[in-house]
Formats: sequence, structure tokens, C-alpha cells
Amino acid sequence: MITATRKPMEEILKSVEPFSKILLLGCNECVTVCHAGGRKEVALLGAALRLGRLQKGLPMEVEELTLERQCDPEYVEELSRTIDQYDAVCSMACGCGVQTIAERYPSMPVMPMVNTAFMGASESHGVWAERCAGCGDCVLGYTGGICPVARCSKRIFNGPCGGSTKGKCEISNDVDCAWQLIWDRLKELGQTELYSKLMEPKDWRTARDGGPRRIVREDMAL
Amino acid sequence: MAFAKKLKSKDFCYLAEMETPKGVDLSAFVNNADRLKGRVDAVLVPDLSHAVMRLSALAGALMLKDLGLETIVSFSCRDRNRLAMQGDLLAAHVLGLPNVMATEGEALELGDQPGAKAVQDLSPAEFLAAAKGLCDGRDMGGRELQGPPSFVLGAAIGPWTDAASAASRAAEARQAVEMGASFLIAPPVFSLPDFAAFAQELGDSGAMLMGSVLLLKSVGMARYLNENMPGVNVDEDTIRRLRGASDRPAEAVKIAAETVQGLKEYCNGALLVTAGWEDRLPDILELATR
Repeated sequence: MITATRKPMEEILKSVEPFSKILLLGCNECVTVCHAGGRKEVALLGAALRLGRLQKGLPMEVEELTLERQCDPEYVEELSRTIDQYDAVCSMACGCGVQTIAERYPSMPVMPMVNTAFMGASESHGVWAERCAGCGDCVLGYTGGICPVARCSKRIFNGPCGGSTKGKCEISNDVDCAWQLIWDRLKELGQTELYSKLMEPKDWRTARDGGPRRIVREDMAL
Repeated sequence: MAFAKKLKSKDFCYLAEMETPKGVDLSAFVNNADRLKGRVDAVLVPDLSHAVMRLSALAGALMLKDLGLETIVSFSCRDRNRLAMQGDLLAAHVLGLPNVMATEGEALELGDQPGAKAVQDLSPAEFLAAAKGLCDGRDMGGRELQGPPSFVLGAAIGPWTDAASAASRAAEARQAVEMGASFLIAPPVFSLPDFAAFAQELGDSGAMLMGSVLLLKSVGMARYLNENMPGVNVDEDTIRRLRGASDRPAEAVKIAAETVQGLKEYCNGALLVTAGWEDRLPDILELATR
């Protein structure tokens, strides 16, 4: 899922300073799962915003709504009848949702309320960790299901580097060395021959380095 | 350095661009450089331009310096992070190559190793700020340097396609001057009136404005540029003139020289870009300075 964390309250209050009536818009997908921008977080931030503005002597009307998916034009369309009554939309979705709103409603200011972080998975309750960098050319089949792009600090393809000590990364003892994990898993799988094979320099065109990416499925076109 | 003095004198500057070789055979590079001695104020050495791997600009510039030519070293923001950029800026100073500028760098997709990873850690504007910071004795991390360098900073102006984008480019150029640029290099000029309008829009920025003059090596090149290079419009008269010439390379040289002469009315210098025909540079300069 896409993970996010709420922006600091001070930054949020500054970003809504020019507005007196906003729509605080949550999303029922990834940001709900990572407790950053779902219905519950919309209610919490809504209350905090009303209170924060009252304390400044500048009350602000905050309406709350959570869409099924903010990154999907189909769901974003439902705002069309009511959006004109607001000064701005304050989106608690990831950057994809914010931009979908901005694209559909070009004259409406859209302010992000969360910082979109990474594509990750839940490690334990309340802990999410990066697992995928969306590089567009998955190598997990060769690396024991552990991604060197997302989980190695240097994103190297023939690790580990000299900074790996006792299974930990040189940047912090709290960070596992991805290549140690890869080695351990390949041993477990009886696939250590994959580790011995030198991987070619990656073609980064499939990642962000080839410019903004799109997927076009002509078989799905209406 | 003579180039810095020339910038202050406001006399018309003659610059030439020289690509480094793809390999270590420097014979053609050295031959062409030898023929430029005493004819140009500085040679601009691009940095892996068009995203094509070749000898580094710093090494090329050092070779030219050893041959007695002053250089402007270009730094591509595409290929270096801020550490490498600052480290190479310090290198430029100690190697006696104080004239520096940055470009964003063309997209890797357009080059000969399109699978490479782009860096783009700094923009050219941030490069200027970093270079200025180094001159003031501090790196981007705020740490004090053991001896600050000094540079003559320049900036490239991006292409414009209409009056609105020309105004934006002029604003960017003025910002670059505020950040320390003392010379500005505009994109290839194929229409003097269009360039004149830009120069007017820019006004007196406080920096020396140089127009680029790209040698039109063929009719095909002119057509290609018209179709693919933003802001380029080689007019049909020029294309007809090139097509009808009995000696097309000589005609191309004449066209370039005429553009240089025309630029003298509107700016402070010309950068000659011959794109592989560096052996023609002396001919263009000969005609342009008559």
C-alpha cells in the first residue's frame, strides 16, 4: 500500500490560513489502512482545525467527507455538485489523490494534509516499512523475495557493500542489510547460485529515470 | 584571467564550443584547438552533452588550457549529486579552470546509454548558489572550507517559443545574474529579430549576453531542428540558400558568420557551435571578424 503520515499541525494551519470554508477530504484506501487519512483521521483533523482556528480568533467552517478512492475519477466526480461552496479542498489522500482532485477541479485550491511516504507493508501494529520502489522491472524472483532497490540503502544490485556489519546497514543499527536478508533467504531456498551470478547494471528507464510513467491497457479501453 | 577581463570590458566576445572525444585519441581535438588559439576568448567544453558518454569536460578543459586556450567548463546537473558537483567545482579551481556554468543536461533517453540513472540533485540555479557559497568559504552543508575557490560563473538560458516563454526565460536569466552569473548563454539564434526581442525583454541584466550560433551543416539538419528543437525556426529562405549552394559547407559557414555579425548589434558575444565540424570554426571566425 501507499503509506503516508499527517503533516505537522503548524504547517497545516499555515496552509489553510487564507480560507474560511474548506472541505476536508479523506480517502478510504491506503491512507485509511495506514491510519493517516481515513474517516477517523478526517474527524480528528477536522476537530483540531476548528479548534486551532478558533484559538486564533479566525473560525473556519470545516466539512468532512471521505471518498471511496481519491485517485479514481469515478469517485472524485461526486464532488462536482457541491465543491463550489468551498474555498479549498484539504485532501488527506496520498499525492495521487491530491492530484486527481486538482486535475478534475482546476479552479479549486487543493492542499495536501499528509506527506506521502512510500510503498510499504505492515511489519507489526503501527509499524510500516518500505518494500517496493516501483522500479518497473521486478527482480524479486532472483533476490529471494527481498528488494535491493527498496531495501538496500545504496540500491546496489550486487551486494552487500563494505558497510554491512552483523546483518545491519552502515546507516543505522536499526536497518537490516538487505543483502544479508537476501543471502539468508536464498540459503533457505537452496538458491545460492543466484547470489553468485553478477547482475547487469540496471536499466533505469522503467523506473522514474525514464520520465513520468503511464500504463496503457488498450484491451480495457471503453 | 583574460575572459573575466573581457566580460568587464563589454567588448564583443567570441566563444567556441568544443566537444571532447569519445575515447582517448585527442589528435583531432588538439588540432582543432590549436587552430583556435588567439581567435576566441574562451572555449566552452560541454559536459556529456546530448547524454552521450565521452571524455569528461574537466579533462578536456585542462587539455585546452595546457594548449594555451581559456575555457568555460560546463557541469551537467544530470550526472552529479551535490557532493560530486562541489568536489568537481573545487577541482576546476585548483586546475586553473575558473569559468564554470551548469546545464540541466539532456534526458538520458536521448543519449547513447539510456538505461542510466539520472541524478538531478541540483538545478543550474542551485549550482550557482553552491558555487557562490564555496567562494564565500562554505560548502552546502554549511561547513567551512580550507581555502575558498573563486569562479567566473555563467548560466545557460533555455529556449523560448513565444513572447510569454521569452519573458519567463528572461526572468530566469535575471535570477541567475542575481545569483552570481556574469555571463549568459542564449540558445541557437536563427532569427535575429526574435533574438533582438528577447534581448530587449532581458534588458541590462548586468551580465554579458551571448547568443549561440549553431552551424547548419545540412538541409536535413535544418529540417530536423525545426521539427524537434523547441524555439527553433530556420526560415525557408535560409534552407533554400543552403540547398542551392554549390559548396554547401562553405555556405553554412557564411550563414553562421553572418549571424555572428548580426548578433553584434544585440548582445555582447557569440558562442559558435559546430557540432562535430570544429575544423570549420576558424573559417567562421575569419568571416565574422572581417
